This record gives sequence, structure tokens and C-alpha cells, in this order.
Amino acid sequence: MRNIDQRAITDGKLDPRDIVMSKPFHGTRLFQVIRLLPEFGGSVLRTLNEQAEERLIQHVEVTKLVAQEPGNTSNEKPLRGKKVLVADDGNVMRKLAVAHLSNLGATIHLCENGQEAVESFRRGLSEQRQRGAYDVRPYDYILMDCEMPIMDGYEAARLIREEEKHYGVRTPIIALTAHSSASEVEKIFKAGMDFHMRKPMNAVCLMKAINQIDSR
Amino acid sequence: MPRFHGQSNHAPVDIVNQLQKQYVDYLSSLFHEGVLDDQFTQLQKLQDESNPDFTVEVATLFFVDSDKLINNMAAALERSPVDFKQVDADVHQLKGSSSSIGAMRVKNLCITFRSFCETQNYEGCLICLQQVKNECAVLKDKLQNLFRMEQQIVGAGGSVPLMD
Repeated sequence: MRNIDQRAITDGKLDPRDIVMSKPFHGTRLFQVIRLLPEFGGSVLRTLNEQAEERLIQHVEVTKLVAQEPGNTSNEKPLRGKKVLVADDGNVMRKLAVAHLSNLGATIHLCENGQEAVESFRRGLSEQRQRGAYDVRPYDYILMDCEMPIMDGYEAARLIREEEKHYGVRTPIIALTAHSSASEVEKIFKAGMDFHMRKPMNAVCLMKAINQIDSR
Repeated sequence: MPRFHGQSNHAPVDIVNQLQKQYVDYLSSLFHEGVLDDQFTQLQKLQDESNPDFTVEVATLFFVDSDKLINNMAAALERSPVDFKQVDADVHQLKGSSSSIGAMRVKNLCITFRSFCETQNYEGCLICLQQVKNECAVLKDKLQNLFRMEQQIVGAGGSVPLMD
């Protein structure tokens, strides 16, 4: 992309970090802009000059740290814009999950067992594919109860990982367990899940888990 | 100090204070007796203007769940041969939901119940089933009392104190 009016920048009328494009806005130019989007592997940072980049990275780090503090009110909705799939066979647990996650700002999709979770995931992937977003995962996080009827969390996680291989995505899966014995934890990781949380869940543990996952 | 909700009818402040004190005493006794644990307080914290009846709703869900599960367990224990795995699965679910609402005594009974399922101890299972039934009935009664007291406080123009 060319900055077509250098004078506007030196006059201070244009921020040097702004991207300037000539019209018409279609074809290659449209494609170039789309490639900036994170969903398509882009990063707005690439077009910034180094100084601005540095400032932005520092800001992101601080926001992350702020979000990590439990009960921090300056980032009250740390999961705003995030989509979370919750699979649990207990209606009380599901209601709790909805309450906690919506307080954190997330959009929630509920399932009652592993089979529904896998189906929702597959549906989400094909919807993304129809939209042309091949490497975007349909959910930002999955909360998976381990013991459910019809299909348990371990099997569901295995199947989800199989699906993901075709798309080159990996969705963080948090296992929800009643106990966290060493053998259970091993089983959780063997099934391809990333983290485990003891039930009943609370917002603090959830954010800790998410922060740990995000920082990997 | 109680917050006023801007209701036009409110009882004198000392009546509100009295109701609040009774409420706190009652809720404290439930914690001391081990009927409820801290998870219940966590539930109450989730109640706010956007979710004004959250605790009652969760409690209602729990009792719908527990009634169904207890019936399932009773039916399974009456069959011949007894499917202990099925009973265990139901007890596991009840354990999960009772721990989610802070129903500590019910949860602990479920833990014992599960060990009887594992050892396929029929007598033990029957005894646990009866105990779980009783304990759920007691819990329902006490929570109904609690929620009624909350309504009285709010009706008198006060706010429900939160245990810390």
C-alpha cells in the first residue's frame, strides 16, 4: 500500500500509522486489507512503524496483566467477544456456567453431552468454511465436563482434535472434573485437552486458566 | 447498613434491621450445621440486577434435578439384577449439582453412596438413598425459609445482606 499524500502526513493531517489507499476499493486492494485481519493471519502491527509497534505491544501486555488480577474492575469483561462452548450434563452446572461466563462478557453455546459438543463444533467449522474463514476456530474456548452420558468429555475432545487436524486450528479445551487425581489429569491430557478445572467452577479459576492458556 | 431500593412503602428501619439480623442468624446456622457451604455464597454473589432471582432459580433447578435422580436411583435399586453402574452415574450427577449449589450434606452423602455402589453393597445403597431423600427434603425446607425471609426484607424496603 502506498501512502499517497506525504504532505498530509508531515502537516500532521494524517497519522503516519494510518493506511492510505486509492480508490476504487476492490480486487487486489480489498484483498490486501482483508489479509490484515487476524482471522486471515494478518496483524495490524505489521503496517505500523517500529515506535508505534512497541507502544502497542506494551499496552497489550499491560491489559493482559490487568485481566489476570482477580476481581479487577478496570477490565470487567475480559471475555468480551469470545465464544465459549460449554458441555455439561447437569442443568445446575450449565446455569452456573452461563452466569459466570456472561458476567465475564462471553457468548455461550450450551451442550448436554459430548456428542452435542462434537456436532456443534463440526457445524461451527463448516459455517466458518462457508464464510471463507478457513483457519478460524468456531469457539475461542471449550469447557468440557469429563463425565457425561452418550459421549463423555474425553471422547468428545479426541473427536474435536481429529476434526481440527483438517483445518489447522486448535481450540483450547478446559476439562471440568469433580476430582483431580493424577490418573484423571493424565487421562485429560491424553485426550488432548489443555487444562483442567475442578467443579464447581468460579470466575477466578476460569480466568486464571484462560490467562495461562493465552500466554502459552 | 441496608441500602434503600426506593420503594415507596418501607417499614421503619429497626424492623428492617431486625429482619436482616434474623436472616443472617438463620443463614449462619445453615453454614454451622454444614447444610450449606461457601459455594452457596458464591451463588448469591452471582445474583444482581440483571439476574435478580438467580439463587432461587438455581435452587429450583437443583430440586427438579434431585427429584428426578432420586426417583431413577430408587427404580434402579428395585430392579433385579441391580445395575449399580447406573445408580452410580445418577449419584455422581447428584453429587455434582449438590456441590454446585453448596449443599454440603447432600454432597457428602453422595460420596458415601458412591462407595456403596462401587462395592455393590445393596443394603448400603438403600440406606444412603433414604438419607439423601431426607437430606434433600430438609434442604428444600430450609431454603424455602431463607428465600421467604429474603422476600420479607425486600418487601420491607431493605436489602438482603451478603455473608462474607
